[in-house]
Amino acid sequence: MPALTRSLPAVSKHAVMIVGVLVTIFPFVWVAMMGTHTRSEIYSSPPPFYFGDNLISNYERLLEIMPFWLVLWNSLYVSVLGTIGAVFFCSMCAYGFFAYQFRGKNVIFGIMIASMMVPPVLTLIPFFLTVRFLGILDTHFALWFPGVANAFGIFLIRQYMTTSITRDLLDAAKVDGASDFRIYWSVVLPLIKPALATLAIVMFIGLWNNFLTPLIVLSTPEKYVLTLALRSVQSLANSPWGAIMLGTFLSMVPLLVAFLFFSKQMMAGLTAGAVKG
Amino acid sequence: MTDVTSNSAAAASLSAERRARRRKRAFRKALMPWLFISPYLVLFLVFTAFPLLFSVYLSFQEWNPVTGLSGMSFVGLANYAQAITDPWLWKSLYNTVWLAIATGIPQHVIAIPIAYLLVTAFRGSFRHLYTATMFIPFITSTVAISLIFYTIYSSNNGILNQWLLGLSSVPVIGALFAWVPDAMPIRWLGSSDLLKPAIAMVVIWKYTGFNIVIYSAGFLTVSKDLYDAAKVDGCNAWQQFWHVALPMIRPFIFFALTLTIIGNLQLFEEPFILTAGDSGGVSQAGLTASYYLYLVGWEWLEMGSAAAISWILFAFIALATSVHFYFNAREGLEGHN
Amino acid sequence: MASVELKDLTKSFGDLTVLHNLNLTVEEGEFVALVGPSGCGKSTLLRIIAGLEEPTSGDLTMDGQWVNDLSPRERNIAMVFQSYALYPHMTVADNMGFNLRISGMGKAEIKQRVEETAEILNLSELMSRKPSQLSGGQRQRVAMGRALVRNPDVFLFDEPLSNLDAKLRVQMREEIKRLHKRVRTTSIYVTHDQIEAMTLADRIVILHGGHIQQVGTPTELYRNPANVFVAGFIGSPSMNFLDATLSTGGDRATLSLKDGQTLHCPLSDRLPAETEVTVGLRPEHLLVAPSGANDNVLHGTLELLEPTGAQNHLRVSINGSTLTAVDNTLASVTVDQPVALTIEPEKIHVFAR
Repeated sequence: MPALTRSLPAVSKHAVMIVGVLVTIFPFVWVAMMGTHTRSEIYSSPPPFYFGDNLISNYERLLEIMPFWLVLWNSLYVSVLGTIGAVFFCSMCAYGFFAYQFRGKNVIFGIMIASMMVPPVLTLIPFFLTVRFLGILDTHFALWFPGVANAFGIFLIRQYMTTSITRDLLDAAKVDGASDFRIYWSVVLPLIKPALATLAIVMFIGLWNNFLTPLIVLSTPEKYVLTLALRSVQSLANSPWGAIMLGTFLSMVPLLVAFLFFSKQMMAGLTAGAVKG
Repeated sequence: MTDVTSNSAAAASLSAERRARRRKRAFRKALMPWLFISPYLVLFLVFTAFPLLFSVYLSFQEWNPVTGLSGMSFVGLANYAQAITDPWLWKSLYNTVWLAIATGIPQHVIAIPIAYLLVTAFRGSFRHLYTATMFIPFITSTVAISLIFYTIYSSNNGILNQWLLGLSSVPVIGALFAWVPDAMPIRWLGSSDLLKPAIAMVVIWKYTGFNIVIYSAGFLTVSKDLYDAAKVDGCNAWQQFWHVALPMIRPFIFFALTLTIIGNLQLFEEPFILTAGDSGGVSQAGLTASYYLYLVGWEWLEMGSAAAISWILFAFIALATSVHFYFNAREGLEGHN
Repeated sequence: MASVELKDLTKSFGDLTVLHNLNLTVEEGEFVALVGPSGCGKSTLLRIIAGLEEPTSGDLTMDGQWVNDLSPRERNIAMVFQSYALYPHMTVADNMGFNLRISGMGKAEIKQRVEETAEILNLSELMSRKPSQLSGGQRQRVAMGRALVRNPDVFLFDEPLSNLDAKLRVQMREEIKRLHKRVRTTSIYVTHDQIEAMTLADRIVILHGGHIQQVGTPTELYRNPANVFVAGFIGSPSMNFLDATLSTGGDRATLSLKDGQTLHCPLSDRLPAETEVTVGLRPEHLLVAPSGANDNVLHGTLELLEPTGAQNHLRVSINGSTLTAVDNTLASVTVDQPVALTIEPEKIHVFAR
C-alpha cells in the first residue's frame, strides 16, 4: 500500500468514503420519504426528515395524475424489446464484421466507428423528421427499433469475439457442416454470452432512462414512458409533490433492485468502453 | 476425367456448367457477410446517414413541420444568419461552456483522489460497497434525479435551504452561515446567478461516481512493484501519487475527459427539468445549446432554423473536442509503456 | 473413402502466389504427409483440400468429381486442427456429435456412434466433460474422435501433434498410425516435423516455396532425394553438403573438393551433367576410417565431440566446412586432433548446383 494512504488512520479513510456515500444516497432516501408525505408536509418548516403516513393517498393521487402502471409497462415494453433486439442484431452484425473478409469492410467499419463520435444532438432534428416520414411518430416502435443495430453494441461485441473466438473454431464448424447462420447461432453466440450480457445491461438502462427520444416522438399520454410521464406532471398547477416523488421513486426501483444483485456486471458494462480504452 | 477429355465439346459444356455453378456459389458466398451486417446498414442509412444529409438540406429551408413537406421554402443562409444574430444562441453557448467547465473539472478533481484512496486503502467488499454506492446515480434516470433535486432546491422550505438555516444556528460553525437567514429564501432555481451552479451540482453529483469507477480501473492497472521501485528511489507518499500513479492512468484521464466534454456540451435533461422546461429558466440562465435547439424545433416549430443550429452546435462540439485532442491526445493515448 | 487429385492447382492471395501449379494424386486409403518448412504453403494446400479456401486456378477432384467450389460438408472431409478447435461450450459428447446433429441424424443413432468412437479412442469416461477440463492429449483425442465419428471420405490433419509435449507426441503418433490401419480412410497430414511424416505416411510430399519438390515413400526420399532441399530436409541430423567438381573417367566418377581431397562414386544416370556440383554426405554414412584406409577418405580436424549414449556425434572441420558424422562404433577420437572419415561410394549423393 502506497505510503500516502497508509499515513492516514483507517477511520479517516472510512470517514471520507462515508461522506461520499451519504452525499450519494441522500437524494434517494429523501425521495422515498417524500413519497410518504403530503404536499403541505413537504413544504412545512422544517421539512420532515422521516417517513410519513400518506403513502396510500399519494399512491391514489399518483394514479389520478398519470396511468402509472400503464406507463411503467410502456417503459418495460420499450426497454425489453430494444434490449432483445440489440442483443440479436448487434451480435449478428458483429459476426459479419468478425468472421468475413469482404471488399468495403474496413470502410464500413471505419464509418461505423466515426458515427459513434457524432453527437446525438446533431441527428435529433433529422431523426425526428425521418420518424415522421416513416409514419411511426407517436409509436413505441420508433423508441426501441432505430437503436437495435447500433455502432457501440456492434463494436463491443466484435471486440469480444476477436479475443474469444479463433479462426480454427469457425473453420472446425464449417468442416462439421454448419451453415453460416448455424455457426453464428450454435457456436459463436454461446461463446460471447458475457459480451451479450454487457450489451443487454447498457441497452436496458439506456432505454429505461431515455427521455429525449420519447420527448420528441411521443404525444399521446397513454403511450408515455416513465421519464416522460413524470416530467409531464412536474408543471401541473398545485403539483401533488408527494405523489410525484412516489412515482419518481417507483420508477427508479427496478434498476436499483437490479443493481443490488448485479452491481459488478452493471458497472463493468457501463464503463466497458472506457476501461478497455 | 478421361471420358471428358475424349470429347472436346462435352468438355466445353462441362466447364461452362462448372463456371455457372461456381459463379452462383461465389455470389452466395460474397453475399453472406452483407446479409449479416445488413441490419446495421439499413438502420444506419435510414436513421443516421439520410437524416444527416437531409438536415444539411433542411438547414437552408424555412419549414414548419405542421404545414407538411410542401410548406418548405428555400431561404439560403438565412437560418444560419438568423441563428448567429440571435442573442439566445450566444447565451446558450455561453451557458453550455460555463456548465461544461463548472461540472467537468470538479467531477475529475473529486473522482481521482477518491479512486486512488479506494484502490490503495481498501480491499474486496469495502471497496466494492463504496464504489458501487457512488455509482448508483449514474444508472438512475436523469429525469428522476432532476425531479428530486427540483424539490431539494425548492425555495419555500426546500430541504437545502432548511439545512443551511439549521447550520447557521449551530454554535461554532454557525458563524460561517451567518449570512443565511438574511438571504432567505434562497431561490436556487429562481435566480439567474444561482441557476447554473444548481444545475452544475446535479451534474457533478450524477457523474462523479462513474469517473471514480473508471479511475479505479486505471489505478488497478498500476502494479505494486512500481510503487516499491519509487519508494526505493526515495519518493515520498505525495511523489508516489504525483509521479507514479497519476502518469500511469493518463489514458484513463484522457478517455474520461473526452466523455465528459462530449457529454457536457450536449447537456439537456438536467437544465430542462430543473427549469421545468420553461424557456431556459430565469433570463435564460439555464438555457444550454441542446435546450435551445429543442425550443426552436419543437416549441417554435422552426425546423429549418433548428437544423442550422444543430450544425452550429456540431461545429462547436467538434472544435472543443479537437482542441482537447490536440492538447491531450498524444500524451493521453500513449500513456504508459 | 476417396482419392484426391490436384491438377495444376494454383493459389494466390492478391499478387502473392503461394502455391504454383501443383499436381498430385492421393490414392484411396493412402496416408500422405505434406511436409515443408513454415510458409511453404502446406497449410494453405490443406485448407484448399478441406474446402476452407478456393484455389485460384486448377482443378481439385475427389473420386473424379470436380469439387473446387464445394463446401467442406459436401466433400465429406473431416479435419483435425492444430489448436484442436473444440467447442468450449459443449461437452465431449456434444463436440463429437455436433456434425451428426447438423446432418440431421437421430438422437439415438448419434449417441450410439459417438459412444462407439469414444470407445476406440478411450474417451468413454470423459463424455460429459467440457474441453477446458481435459488435458492436452485428451483434447487431441476428442478432436480425432470428432473427425472419426462421421466416417469421412478424407481425413485431414493440420499439425495435430505440435501442441503436445515430446512424449505424448510419440504416443499419439502411434495411435494415429494404428487408427489409420484400422479404418483405412484416405488421410492427408500436414506437419513440419519430418520424423512424424516419415513414421506415419505411406508417401510424403515435400513442399518448398509453393512448389512440390518431391513425392515418394519415406525410403525413396531418404535414398534418392531429388534435390538439395529434399536431401537436407529429410534425415536427422541433416545431410552434409560440400561443393565439388565432378569429372568422369573410366568406370567411376571423381569428385574433387576445394582443398584437393577427392571422393569417388559409381557412374549412374542420376549424376548431373554439370561439373560444378554439390556433394551430399549423410552423417550416419560417414564412418571413422580405420588407419591405413585411403580410398574415399576425408581428412579433417575433430572440432567437437557430442556423446548421445548409443552414438557419438562428431563435428569435423574439413577445409573450412564442418561436417557432422554419427559414429555408432564409439571410436576413441580426440578433440582438436586429426580425424579421417570414410564413406561407401554408393552412399554419396551428388546434386546439380
